[in-house]
Amino acid sequence: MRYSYLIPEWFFGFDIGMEILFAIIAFSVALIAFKINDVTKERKIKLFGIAFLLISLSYVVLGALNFWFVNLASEGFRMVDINEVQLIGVISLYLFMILFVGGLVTIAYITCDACKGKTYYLIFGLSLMVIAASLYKLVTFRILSTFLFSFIAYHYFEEFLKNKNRNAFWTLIAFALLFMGSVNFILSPVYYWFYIIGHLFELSAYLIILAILIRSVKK
Amino acid sequence: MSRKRNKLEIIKDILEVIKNRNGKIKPTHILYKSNLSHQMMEQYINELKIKEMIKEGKIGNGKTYFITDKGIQYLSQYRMISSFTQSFGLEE
Repeated sequence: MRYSYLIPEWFFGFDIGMEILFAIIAFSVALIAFKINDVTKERKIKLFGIAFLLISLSYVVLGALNFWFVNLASEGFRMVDINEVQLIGVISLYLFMILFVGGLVTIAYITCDACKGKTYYLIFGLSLMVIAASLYKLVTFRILSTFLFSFIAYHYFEEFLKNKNRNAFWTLIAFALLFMGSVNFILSPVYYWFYIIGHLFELSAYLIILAILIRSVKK
Repeated sequence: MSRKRNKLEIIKDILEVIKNRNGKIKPTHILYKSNLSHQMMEQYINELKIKEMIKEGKIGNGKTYFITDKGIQYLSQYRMISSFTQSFGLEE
C-alpha cells in the first residue's frame, strides 16, 4: 500500500491545527453526550457519544500522521507519504480509517430506528471489509465516508422537515458540509486544492457543531 | 391539536408531577396528571425505577413513588438535554 498527497507549504500546519480543533470539538460533543447519558441512560445518546469519541480519536491519529509523515516534495509543496516500509504509518492510517468509519457507522446506525445490534456489526464489518479488499484503500475509505455522510445528512434533512427546529436545521447544514468536505477529499490526490477546500468545509461544519453545542449547554 | 410528546418529555412531565407534590405521589395521581394510558404509565414508571429517578415506597397502605436526586437532576438539566437531543435528532 502506498498513500501520498501534496500539501502546499503555506497550508502545512493549518491542516494539523484544524484536525486538532475538530478532535477537540468532536470530543466536547462526546463529553456532553456522556454527561446527558449519565442522567437519562438513553442508549441512543450513549452511542452518539461513542460515535463522536471515535471521530475525535480519528482526527488525533490523522493529525499525528500529517505531522510525522511529511517530507519536502518540491518547491512550495510538502508531501505526506506512507508506504509499507513505515509500519507505524501504515498502522496509524488503518487506525484512522477504522476509527472514522466506526464513528460514522455508529451515527448512521443511531439514525436507523428499525436497526438492531446485529445490523451494526453487519454495516461496520462490511465497511471494513470493503476497505481491506480494495487496492486503493484511502480512496475507497473516502468514498465510503462520503456515502455515510450522505446517509446521515439525509436523515437530518428528514428530521428538519419533521421538527422545523433551528438547531436541527444547523445540524443538517453541518453534516451537508461534512459530506461536501468528504467529496473534496476523494478528489484531493488529483489536485491539492481539493485537500484545502475539504478542510475548509470541515472547519465550517465543526464550527457549526460547536455553536449548536454551546447553545445547548447554555440552556 | 397538541403535538405528540417524545419520551424525554413524558419522563420530565412525570417527574415534575411528583416534584410538585412534595416529591411523593400515588400511582393514580400520576395517571391523572401525566395524561397517559395505564399501560404506558406502568412502562414509564418501571423505566424510571430502573434508571433510579424514582423509588417505590409505602405510605400507610398505598403504594407511593418518591422522586430521587437523580430525578431532580434530570429536571434541572432537562432544557439542556432537550436542546441537545432535538439538535442531533436523538429523540425517541
